[in-house]
Amino acid sequence: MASDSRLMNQSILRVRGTARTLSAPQIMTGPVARRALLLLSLIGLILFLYLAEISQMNTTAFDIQALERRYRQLQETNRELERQIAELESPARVLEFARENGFVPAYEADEIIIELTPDAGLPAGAGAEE
Amino acid sequence: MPTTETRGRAHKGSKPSGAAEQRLHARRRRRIYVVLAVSVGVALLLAWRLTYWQLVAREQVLRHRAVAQVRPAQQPPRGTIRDRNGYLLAIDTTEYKLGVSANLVAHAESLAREVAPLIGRPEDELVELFSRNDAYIPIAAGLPYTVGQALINLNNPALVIEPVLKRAYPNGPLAAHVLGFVNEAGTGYGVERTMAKWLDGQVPPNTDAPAAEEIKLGARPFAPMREGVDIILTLDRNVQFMAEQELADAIARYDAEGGTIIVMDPHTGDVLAMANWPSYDPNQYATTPPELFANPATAKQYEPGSVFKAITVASALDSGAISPNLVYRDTGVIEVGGRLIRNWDGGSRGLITISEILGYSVNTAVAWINLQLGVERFVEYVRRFGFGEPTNLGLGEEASGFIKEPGDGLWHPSDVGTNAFGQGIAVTPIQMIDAYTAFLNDGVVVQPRLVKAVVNHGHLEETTPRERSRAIAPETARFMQEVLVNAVELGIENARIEGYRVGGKSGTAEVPIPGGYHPTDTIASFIGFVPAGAPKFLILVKLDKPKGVYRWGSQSAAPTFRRLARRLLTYWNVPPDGSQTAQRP
Repeated sequence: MASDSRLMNQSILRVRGTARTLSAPQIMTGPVARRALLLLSLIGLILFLYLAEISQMNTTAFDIQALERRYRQLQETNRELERQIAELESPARVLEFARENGFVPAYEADEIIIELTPDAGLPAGAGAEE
Repeated sequence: MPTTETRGRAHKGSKPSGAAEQRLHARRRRRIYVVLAVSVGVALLLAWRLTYWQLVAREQVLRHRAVAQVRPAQQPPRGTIRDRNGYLLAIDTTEYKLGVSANLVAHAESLAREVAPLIGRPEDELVELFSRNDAYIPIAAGLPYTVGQALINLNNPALVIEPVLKRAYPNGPLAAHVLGFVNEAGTGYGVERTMAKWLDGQVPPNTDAPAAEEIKLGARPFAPMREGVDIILTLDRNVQFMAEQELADAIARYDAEGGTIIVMDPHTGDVLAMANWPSYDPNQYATTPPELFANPATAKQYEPGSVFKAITVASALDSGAISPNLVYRDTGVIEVGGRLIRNWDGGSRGLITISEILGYSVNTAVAWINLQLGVERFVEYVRRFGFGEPTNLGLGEEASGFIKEPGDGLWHPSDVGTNAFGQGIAVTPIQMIDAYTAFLNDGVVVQPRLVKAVVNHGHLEETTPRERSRAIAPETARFMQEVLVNAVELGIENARIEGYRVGGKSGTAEVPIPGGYHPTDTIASFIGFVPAGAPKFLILVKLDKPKGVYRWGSQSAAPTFRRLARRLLTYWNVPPDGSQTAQRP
């Protein structure tokens, strides 16, 4: 009889709008309950995916900001390095550096002009063509 | 295992047997466990994720958070300015402004200890500032790049660091009058002002021009700006440096008050160097007297003196007023318009050719030649040579020069004589050197050029040399070229360079003062080219008020030309072209 009663309850549960007090296992095992659980699971999954996506977006946004900051910094560094290179290779500095190391400008050097004459021949090692 | 039949019955609501009912319950329980397991799994996943961010990846999260507040610069950087070989002449660099969000400071003392040595402010002063509760307190400005980077690397979120772009001229005063500057109000001088629209990237890119990842115009390739315009000038940084050195040396050597040297490619009009004295450092323009800002090479007029004789003679030859075979009898004096004109040394030369007229710089002969030419034709030719109007070099405020004409109220009949040798008219140095290009270009005056190319958003747009006007016929130009070589050989010893044929003309102009001319002050100048057969460059040297014997162009400007020309011949490896003899300087 008890078994019949449970089956009766179960069949009654199929009728929508019927107000009945059911035990937890009964609620959790009915088809409506199954659908509800499925729905909840889906909602949970969607929420999880949504949260994961939001989290990923935030992480990416942070990364983009960091990369932009890094890019700007690299550009600034690049310009600063260009300026430093230009300063270091400026003619005034090069001239000063050359003088410090004992170099003499070409226009201040003495020139020796050797005039070749038929008698003198070619300088040693100059070679000759037939 | 329930049979299909049994399952079907159960679904249809038929009475199941006791065993079947138990199996049904068992199956339902399993389903519940599965759902519970999934839920627990999701919960565990969330918990793991939270644990990961809180514990495992904590440092990464903190790194994202614990950075200084570095703001982007308020405007994009200006384009660079480079010389014809790609060497950098002007660039935007970064300085930093430092502020602090005091309400975010966790430990005022420790932060002050880190910041104080970097910015050079007392630590206790910073502790007091950091201990307030304000959202923003300015701390320091004009901090150099290295300091800014050190502050950023402190990674303190309370620090507010703002980059501020600052124009830098890495070569200091080199080419200051050409480069100029732009101040905060947007006004300024030089290319910085005249090309401001380009440098600020306000000109749309010309996509027809070839795109380039790297610009290789000369010795120093460079990557162009993607969002702006780089300007490539015709200047050669090394030639500019040599010109400035020689000018400074001449100013000191001859005790002059100022001067200008221009080096030009006579065939393209490219200005290779434009040096002025006194000059200034554009990095320090804010503390420079404003009277130094204008470019004397383009904005300052002067009476050119005898270098102008070549213009008069060429005009007379071209018009047919005189013959190339002219022989003039110089008696040392000539009357023009009621005024007696004498030679610079008061002497007379007797019978002289055109080459000798220029070589010995005979005033009387040139005045006579201009009488043969006539004032109307003289004025017409002078304008054809480009005098009386700006050259439009592209440096902004440029003087037009001044030519007197009959009927303008200032003209006097004696001007026919004095104008012939460059007195009573006014020109600018750039006009004067540009006029001489006609002698080296078969009679065509070329348009002087200062901008060789622009790199507009990565697209290279090169400018092309242009003619400015035809002044004289090709045969007249070639004859004049030879006459100018003879002039150096005959009378301008100080301009000669061993092994090279040099052409040119010196000039010594009196300086006008109210009521006449200064008794001793002069403007000494020389315009010359070398090697004469295939001129590589044209140089103008102008010295203001050199003292003593150096007041004569042949004694100060000509040797300055020679010293610079020798250096340039070495620089460009120009082989000797002749046997012109000269004394070693």
